[in-house]
Amino acid sequence: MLDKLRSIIDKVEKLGADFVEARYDELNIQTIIKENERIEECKKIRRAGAGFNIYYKGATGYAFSADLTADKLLECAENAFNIAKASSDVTGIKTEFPKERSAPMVILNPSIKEPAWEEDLDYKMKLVERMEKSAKEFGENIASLRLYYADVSGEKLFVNSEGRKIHWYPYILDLRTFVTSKNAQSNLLTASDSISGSLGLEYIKQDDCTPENIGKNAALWAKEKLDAKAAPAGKFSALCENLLAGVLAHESFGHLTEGDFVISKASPIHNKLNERLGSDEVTIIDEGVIPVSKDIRPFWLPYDDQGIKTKKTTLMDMGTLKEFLHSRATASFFKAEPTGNARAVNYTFPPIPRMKNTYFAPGNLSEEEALEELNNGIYAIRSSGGQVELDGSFIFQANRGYWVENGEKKYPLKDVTLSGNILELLKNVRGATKDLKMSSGYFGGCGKDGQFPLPVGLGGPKLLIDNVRFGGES
Amino acid sequence: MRLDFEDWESDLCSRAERGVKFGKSLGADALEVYITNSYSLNIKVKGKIIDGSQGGNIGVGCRCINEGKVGFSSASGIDESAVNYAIKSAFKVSKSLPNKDKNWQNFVNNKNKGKEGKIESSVFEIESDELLRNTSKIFKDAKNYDGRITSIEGMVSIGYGAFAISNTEDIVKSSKSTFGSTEFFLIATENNKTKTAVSTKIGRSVPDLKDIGIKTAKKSIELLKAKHLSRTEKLPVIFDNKTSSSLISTALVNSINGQSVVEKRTKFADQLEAKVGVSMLNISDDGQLFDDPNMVAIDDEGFPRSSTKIIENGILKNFIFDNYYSNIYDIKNTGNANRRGPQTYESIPSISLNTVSVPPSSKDLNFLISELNDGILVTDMLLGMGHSDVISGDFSIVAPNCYLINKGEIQKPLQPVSIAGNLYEIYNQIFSIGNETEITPHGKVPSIVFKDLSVSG
Repeated sequence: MLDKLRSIIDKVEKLGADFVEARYDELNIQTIIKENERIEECKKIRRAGAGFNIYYKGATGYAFSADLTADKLLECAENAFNIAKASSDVTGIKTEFPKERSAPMVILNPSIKEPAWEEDLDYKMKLVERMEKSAKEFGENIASLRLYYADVSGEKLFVNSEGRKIHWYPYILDLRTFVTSKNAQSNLLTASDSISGSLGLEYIKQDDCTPENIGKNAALWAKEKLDAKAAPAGKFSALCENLLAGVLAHESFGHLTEGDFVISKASPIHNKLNERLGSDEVTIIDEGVIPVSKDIRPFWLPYDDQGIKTKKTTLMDMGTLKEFLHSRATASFFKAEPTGNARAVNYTFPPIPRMKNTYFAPGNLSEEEALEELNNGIYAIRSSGGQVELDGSFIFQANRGYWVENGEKKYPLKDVTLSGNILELLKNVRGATKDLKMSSGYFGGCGKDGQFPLPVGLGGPKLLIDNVRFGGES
Repeated sequence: MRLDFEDWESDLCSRAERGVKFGKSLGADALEVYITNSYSLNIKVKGKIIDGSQGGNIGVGCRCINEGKVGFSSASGIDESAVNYAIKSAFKVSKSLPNKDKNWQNFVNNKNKGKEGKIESSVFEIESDELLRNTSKIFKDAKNYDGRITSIEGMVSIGYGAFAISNTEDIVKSSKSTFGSTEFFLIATENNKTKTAVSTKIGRSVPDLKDIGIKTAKKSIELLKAKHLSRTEKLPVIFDNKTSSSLISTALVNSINGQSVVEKRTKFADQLEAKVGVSMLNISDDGQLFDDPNMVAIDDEGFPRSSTKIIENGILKNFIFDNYYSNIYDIKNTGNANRRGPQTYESIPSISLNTVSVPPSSKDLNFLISELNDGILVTDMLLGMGHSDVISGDFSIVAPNCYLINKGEIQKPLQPVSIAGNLYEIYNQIFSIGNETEITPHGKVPSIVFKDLSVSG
């Protein structure tokens, strides 16, 4: 495949292309979804194809093909070249960058002990059954029990006009349990737990990380919601749990730092580099390779889809906006270094600026101290995601929560909705706890420009924030 | 653009049929092969940067049954090796499963097809350079309309596709469609305040891009004057046709889904023939709207697409089903098996709405506004709708584009307001229905007035 792509690059350069990036992606995905004792889905996916990102007079065109014969790949590259030529007549911003003389050639393998994809289906099915058994043991009035398993493996090959060659092997393990319990008023209440990220099976053999633990947590949290009250509406102080803080870091702030939104001026912080936008407690980082630990389960991303080694990028340092996330093109426009953030969800899409593993840096409070500091307010926990707009406004759904009075958790809350504008919220961060947690995975993922689901990691400490608007009942 | 689209269906049918024969030769008890070929051209705009991408999504998905155990596998590509890989792998998965699915009965054996949608030749005729040029005018138009327009984000997509299904019930069927869509966000900025307005269009032909720039610019400039509502109370809310279709389709996504009914994950499970909404309310799920880009002749497991009455005069009449759950529930299949995502061949068919449709009344949006003394008008988009708890029905959303209505008239644009309610209860909160007939990305639903929703802003 490498020789095939290399030869096509030569041919398109002869047609007049200024720069060519060629990618081959192959992913193998195994998923199991079981609901109420029935295997709803047991599937194996093989997805392979190639894409060409071609530059002509500062404009780009992209084309892809799942037909990997030499003729079809050449036709595909020519299509990309034609789009780039047509685009060069209308695009208002042109990006060019110098070729690197000694481009790297790298092959990287996963550094895990027990790859999930090497196990047979029977083994994977047993992991699902272990979550199921545990959820049933600890749950109450379970109306529905959904269990998810996925492992992802594959290879990514990148070559370009510089002779750069990057060959690496992405991987993910993902285990999830969703429990829906029914209360006395026939209301259905759902809770979930998961262990997911670029992990080997050795990870889920540790205490507190087992399939049993996932099932137990989901069941107990759904049980706790049986008597939960609706969250009040209005503005309150909040303690946002680690993974919810991660959603805030990724969804509401991280997207605003993506180079394409910055160039287009769609991001409200496009002209605010080195300005103070948050409180002293806010440091936000985006990073590609982070060591795995018990609470930290990132996605392993050593190189992006333009063959750039991923950087540790400090987006905000103690409240000051320091860097944006770049592809080669956006970096060249800003005369900055590429940060390794050009990513495509698969070969059918061009690489665009996307996040890697994005997190708030930890602070110095313990959880008890944070609750004490909160005094009265809402402790909001985890999130199934949310939605943001480019002006910084956001809405997120926390899966669980507690009403806190005098620093003590008083009673559980049903789903809690947080909304507001991230630029206001960052100014109101009053503190952060010491504990950093992070998660990534196959189910879910990030969506942008129709590219979904891209595996990303997100996390942080627990954040103490004032003046958060909560939805809910009046 | 490919000129051999007419031949795609027969080509895909023969590949699927050959695949079924291959699966039988392996010893599969039952087998279904789904093969798809689709082409798309996308022009993306980010401020002044305009670029494009194109290509074909091709692939095969196979469900294989052995001793009542259901395995699935897929592969990109549609050549013989890709088809054989998917079939062999699905066969292996089904053999490896521990337990049979006791509810499994059969693949679709209905021989009929629904009607085909309109095939629009414009999507074959337009070249990438023409679409790039037309798209580039949108930002120029908006900027010329008002200098406060600072940015644009969006995409124009056009394309066409076909799929075929063959199974061991002697079914070989296919269908095809064309599509065109736009989504643009225009951003206005003044005194450090930014406001975003959105424009979306969907159809089966190349979309008309002429007025998008000016119309959307006008809306975002108007929103710069937005003031805070500064109260939290229950108010009537008008959802325009884009937001009402989003709200109604979210309300139905779980509540009338046959799988949720069987699994008892919906409060409507035992409410058939019960009154669940106001008498004026009629809702259908329509898989046969001629101009709908979602219209095809068969669903994704080969059952004829049709129109299903969901709520009639406020009474819950039907749920939606695929083949598997209609067999369990012992009721007629409604043709709602769909495969999700851009790579549809990677998805096992599951029940989802085709297109939600609510018949229009004779009242236009201005009339609905004139009926309210104090209320809110919500337009164009809702934040957080997709993250509603569709099982409990609780929703809490933010409406970024909204207006205060006072004494029957729009008084002023508002800063974003939060709106909360319950998706099972909204059918009884309907006060009035408008007259729009446009197909939006979420369905064909007119503007709707809901009374007593919790509003905070």
